[in-house]
Amino acid sequence: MDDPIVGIDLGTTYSAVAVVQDGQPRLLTREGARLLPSVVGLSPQGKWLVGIPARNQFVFAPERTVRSIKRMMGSAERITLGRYTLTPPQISAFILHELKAIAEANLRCEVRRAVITVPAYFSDAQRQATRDAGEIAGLEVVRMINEPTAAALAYGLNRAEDQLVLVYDLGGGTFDCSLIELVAGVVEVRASHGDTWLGGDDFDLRLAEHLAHIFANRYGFDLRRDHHAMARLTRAAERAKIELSEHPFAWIREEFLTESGGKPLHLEYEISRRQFEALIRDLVQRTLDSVDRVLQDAGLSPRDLDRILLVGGSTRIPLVWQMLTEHTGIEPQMAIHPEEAVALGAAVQAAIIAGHPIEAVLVDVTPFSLGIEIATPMGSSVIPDIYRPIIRRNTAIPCTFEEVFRTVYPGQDTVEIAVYQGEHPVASHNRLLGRFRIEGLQPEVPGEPARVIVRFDIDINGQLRVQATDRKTGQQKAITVMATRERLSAEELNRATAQMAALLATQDAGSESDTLEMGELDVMLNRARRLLQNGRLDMERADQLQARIEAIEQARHAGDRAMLAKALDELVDTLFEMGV
Amino acid sequence: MSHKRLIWEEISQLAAQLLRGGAAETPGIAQIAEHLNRLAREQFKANALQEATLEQQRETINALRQTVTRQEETIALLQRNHHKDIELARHDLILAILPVVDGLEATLNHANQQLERLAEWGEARQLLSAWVEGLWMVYQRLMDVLAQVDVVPIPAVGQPFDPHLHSAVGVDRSGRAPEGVIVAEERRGYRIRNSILRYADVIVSRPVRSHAASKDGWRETIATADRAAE
Repeated sequence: MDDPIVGIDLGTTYSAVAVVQDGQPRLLTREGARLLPSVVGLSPQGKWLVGIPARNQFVFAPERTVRSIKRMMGSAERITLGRYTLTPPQISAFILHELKAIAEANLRCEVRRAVITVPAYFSDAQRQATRDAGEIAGLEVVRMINEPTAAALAYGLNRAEDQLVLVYDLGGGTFDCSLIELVAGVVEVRASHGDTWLGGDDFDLRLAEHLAHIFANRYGFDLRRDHHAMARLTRAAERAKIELSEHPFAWIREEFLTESGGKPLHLEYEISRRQFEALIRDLVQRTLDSVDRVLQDAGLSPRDLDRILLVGGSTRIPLVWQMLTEHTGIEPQMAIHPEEAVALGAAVQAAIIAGHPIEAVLVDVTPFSLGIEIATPMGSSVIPDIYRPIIRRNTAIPCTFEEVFRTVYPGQDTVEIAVYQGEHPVASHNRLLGRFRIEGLQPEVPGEPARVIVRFDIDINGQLRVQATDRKTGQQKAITVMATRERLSAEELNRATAQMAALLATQDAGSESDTLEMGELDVMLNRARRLLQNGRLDMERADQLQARIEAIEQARHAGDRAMLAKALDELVDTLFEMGV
Repeated sequence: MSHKRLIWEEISQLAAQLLRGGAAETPGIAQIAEHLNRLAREQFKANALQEATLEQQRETINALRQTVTRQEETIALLQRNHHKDIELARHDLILAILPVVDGLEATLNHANQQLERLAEWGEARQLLSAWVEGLWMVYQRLMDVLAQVDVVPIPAVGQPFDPHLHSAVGVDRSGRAPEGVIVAEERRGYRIRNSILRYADVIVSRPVRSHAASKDGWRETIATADRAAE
């Protein structure tokens, strides 16, 4: 690649760099790491540290380490690191310089130009500071774009119809929500609002505190005073949080957390998604309040929105999806990795500036929701044939999702799992992919209904494996069926495939004498149209040719073969007379 | 092609007739001219069709060439990435096993402490001791397996703190070690060949009080440390 322009997401906690190669935006990585922690430090030996090593020394040497410098961009503050006093752009420049190095190692050439993203709410001073940071790092900032705009570009919305889009960005430590309007491929931020101190870390903390509470109840021992134990709990909480995004239950197993009177104390605890959701619900509600405020600022209601895009790792939590859907009535989109969408969008903008061809970000998705039929007790009766999606449409594949279900009646020991593809709330109105029975179910609590975990695994080819597991006995049943899959990109039919199709069409035509005329018809029509287009015909002849073309189209429309043959003959005559 | 040949056959026949001239069945000059004209029109049509076909073939061949080139590039890329992918998948698996190793170590450490507490060399202590020895062998076997795939622990306690190997999760103010030396290991770190699989979480000696102590205690500390394994 000659003199490439890269796209950079310069984030508060993490940063990333991407580029468009062969029409495809992709993230540039180092040793498999896709994101670079936005931390800068000076080692005791006086060496500059960026990313993980800088983060590693923060606790030991906070006076020589800077985190979240993005929060200080545009301010007059000075940061002292050892014997250096630096401005926020100078600190940011270290991060940009590191990203530049990552890009250069991947692309094997010098990188001098970049598109950098900034939050929509950034002031001119903050934007200028970001631009300065680029220059200090040896990067010409060819354009700065807003983060929500970048997300829209990653989704190819600049090539879609005009629309109103809400970008919901919930990261590790910050929340932003922006309303953007796309008109004729131009993206404009209409309103933006956020919570600069709300994110996934808060969810971890809530869960860790809950675990400490459980532990206190069990052993009468307060872990919150034990730094080491709390560190382990928070780490376990983060792991459980991630697991609960896909599974209805997660085990937390921390052995030898502490000891009491020489007796080791362990924590073994199974948390359900529902419990976790109860712990964080008010935090998610706060983000919805921001959504409302943004809509209010723009004088709009959720009904006016055409689309919601999810950005930031914390949007993988199903409750976020669910509450946002309930609140707005729109199913948000997350086909592109939410941590990467902004960097990929910056790369798309870079390619547009460079004049390079871009295809949409290719993601393999399931174009329809996949789910099962359930029944719901309603008073004394049971409503059957209700559709419960487990994998939502436009979810990137491969993926795995699990949900837990109860039998309708206590003592019921068999359930039939009917697997459907579609969107209709009535199960049987969707396409049935397969069904199977799981028998011999046992309740976990005697007298209660048994519980079954239904797991959906879909691979890249659309092969769907549905597995049911009895919670009590662990016995399993599964089937494998084929679901429809799709590659999400309007432009995917590239020239080559179109031409292959044309070639195959002519071959087919050749085998039937009857259709030869159609080939001839198209050839002559093309010839005539090309003549008209290149504008070398005088008015009179152009009109004559146009009339002939119209006659053919009329005949074709009317389906009159004799008339078509005559019109074609006349067109050939005209072309022949013109000697072209 | 056959289309074209027919036309030329007819034209040559007509030419022959013209050359013979004057025979009763010979059509008039005007008729011949008209006939030739018609043939030429047919010829024009045939040429136009052929041109279009040739152009289409050219485009198709070009498109196929592009596809082949692209596929060759893709195959080369896939081959390059293949090895990398296997390596990453292996790293993931080992990373998932490491907490089990941590648990075993914690168990062994605790058991050893218990053994020390049981001062009397009674039957219970003997039983426990033998049991711990067995567990120790299990642990050793696991470590041997890891060593075979080039996974080795990162030295920590007594070493100078190195942010490229260690992640500081706390500081020790007691002054029992020189500044910057690791006094305790909270979680062992591992490397695989030249890359870090998991940083070692360590407590570093820092006898002088630092001015930038964090505002919200342990939480801040954890936030820095807990993603060390990435």
